[in-house]
Amino acid sequence: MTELAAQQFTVTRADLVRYAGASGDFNPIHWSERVATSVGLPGVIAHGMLTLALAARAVEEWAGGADRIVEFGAKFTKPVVVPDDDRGVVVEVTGSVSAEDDDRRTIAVKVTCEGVGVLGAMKAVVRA
Amino acid sequence: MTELSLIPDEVAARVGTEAARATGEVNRRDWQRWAVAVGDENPLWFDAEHARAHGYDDVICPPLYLQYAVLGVTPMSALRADGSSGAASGNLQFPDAPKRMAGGESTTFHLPAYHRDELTMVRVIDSIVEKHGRSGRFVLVTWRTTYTNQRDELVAEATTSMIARP
Repeated sequence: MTELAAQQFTVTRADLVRYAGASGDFNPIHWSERVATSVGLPGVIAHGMLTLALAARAVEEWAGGADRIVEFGAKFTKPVVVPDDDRGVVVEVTGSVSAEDDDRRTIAVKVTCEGVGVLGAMKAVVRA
Repeated sequence: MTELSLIPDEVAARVGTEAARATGEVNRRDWQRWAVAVGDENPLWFDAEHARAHGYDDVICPPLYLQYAVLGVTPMSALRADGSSGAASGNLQFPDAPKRMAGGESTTFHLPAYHRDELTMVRVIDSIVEKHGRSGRFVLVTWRTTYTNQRDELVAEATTSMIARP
């Protein structure tokens, strides 16, 4: 298992608004504290696909190219709660190579936020 | 005492059927806006010369953006009570489990997509099951989705899931 360099990404409320606009996903759990808490969430949460996209950035970096990702996916296990302040929250992406052959590398990816795993069963297959 | 299922019979009967089909044009400015939103400013998405130097005909669409290229605009009046759009999920109704969250997403990428490619998404309902988790009962819906381009070439395949809670 080769460990890959951990990468950190900061997510703020402004990022969520920007992602909502760019993706067309306007579910209010991603921008309204009132709606988010009313459905039992601890607060406004990041779009799962935004967190996944941040993990993809880390994998692109490890793979040495944005177009090397062949297969990519995860379960959204815990929400990334984004506070209403200017600092936001930090998402950390770590990875290790779990399998490798001549043309494919499989990377087991862990994505945590304040020490808690937020994406589960995450795996990326990249062109070697 | 048997609890009533959270899954209405008419919804359960839709497993294996097509939930949604949509066609959309891949648009450079839209994917670039998305790439900026996730902080992914890779030159393959932005710089045609760089992309050509890496063997492509032009700038390419970030793979994780593909699903957004085919999602249409949901009119405000058609949004669900929680504000989300049901368009891509086939508008499955779970009256006893109205709180929805994305479950997961896994995609295999086969071919690059270019500006003005016409993508067709076909989404089939793979399974609908009721589960019991630490926070109680929920419905897990899984879809299988294919994305093909205007030449009928398979661009990507995805498995997507959603959780609906009471």
